[in-house]
Amino acid sequence: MNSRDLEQRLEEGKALKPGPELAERMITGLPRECPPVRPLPSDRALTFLIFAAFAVFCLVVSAAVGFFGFDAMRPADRGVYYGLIAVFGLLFSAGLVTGAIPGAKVRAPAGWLETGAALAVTLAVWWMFPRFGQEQFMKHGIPCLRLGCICAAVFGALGVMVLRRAYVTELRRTALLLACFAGFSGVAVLSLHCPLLDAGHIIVWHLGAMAVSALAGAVIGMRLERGG
Amino acid sequence: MIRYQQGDAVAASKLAEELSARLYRFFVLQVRNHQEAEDLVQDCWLRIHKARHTYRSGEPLLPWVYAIARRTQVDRYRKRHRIARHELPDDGAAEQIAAASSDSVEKGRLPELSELLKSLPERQRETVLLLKVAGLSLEEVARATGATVGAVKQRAHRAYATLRRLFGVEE
Repeated sequence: MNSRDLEQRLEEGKALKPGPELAERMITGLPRECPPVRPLPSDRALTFLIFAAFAVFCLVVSAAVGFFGFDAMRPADRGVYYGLIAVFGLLFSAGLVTGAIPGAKVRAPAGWLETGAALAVTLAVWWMFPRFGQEQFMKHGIPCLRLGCICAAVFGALGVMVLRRAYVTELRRTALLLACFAGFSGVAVLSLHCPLLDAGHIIVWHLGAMAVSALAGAVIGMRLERGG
Repeated sequence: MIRYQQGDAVAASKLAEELSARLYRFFVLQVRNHQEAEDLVQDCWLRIHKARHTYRSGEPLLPWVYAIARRTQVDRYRKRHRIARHELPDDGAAEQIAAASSDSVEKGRLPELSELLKSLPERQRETVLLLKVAGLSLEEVARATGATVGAVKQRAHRAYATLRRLFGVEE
């Protein structure tokens, strides 16, 4: 066999045809009513809607628990940190839209966005804040982790409600993405609420909420894939 | 597709006619069983019907259709193996099912092409099917398989290299 034979053999697949009754069965197999449906908005509109929901969620939760973190930060640090959170919030929103719509354009390989967000926050806080100077590391950290995980759980549940309106084709990947996004909402809330501006505290306890959420998302995604 | 979304039953029929052959080819070359392929086509069409609101005008239709087709096949495969694990004795049940499927494969063209493709890993096989049999572009295959264009190129390259190596293709 040469290359042309190989190509020709592959092309032969185009000649395969089903029985003539298949199309008929497809049509009669549908429900009797074919009501009109309203198509989902464009990718851009959906991305902004999800981002707006993310921003509102973070602000509402922070309003309930207090904006002590925002108050404690210098204006320059606020610009960098909240700018970073906004950028990744938008990227996560776009990623979720990709996961929710069959055949949507994939802009980055799986895992890049999640890893990028964690790395970016780590580098930013490492640069901006003192490192590991905090006393009673565990005592101050556990409440932050708890709040972050609660935010992740609530945001994740809201995300699932949104995804059920769409049609997810890559279950494992989308579950992981949503879980990381949910964990990131916890990071965002903690950035507004927590006045402990120490790099070690933020990396371990704030990003820890994202790690816990990612792990939960990975497990849920695997089980959904197995369950079919 | 737009008219189908608007509730036009005639448009739905026309779309079903146009898609049936495409979907059938996509499934039959992977499952190698005509009956199962036709069942998958029907299942896929039902899912297309339920998910029709997720298609937006201006977006390419075929990647949307094939993305749903892929999901249909994965779900069917996992369901069969879940049933095989729980309901049949664990002494080669999966092999029995595979043997029963391949017994009913039509002789002639189908086995030759499906033999070619059988040797490939799943992702590479579907990439070759979508590129060569379905005639999609690299961008469209990337959308349908939830991958980047670079990943699709890599899979295609590896698939062709494997096929050449296995079938002793002279360069």
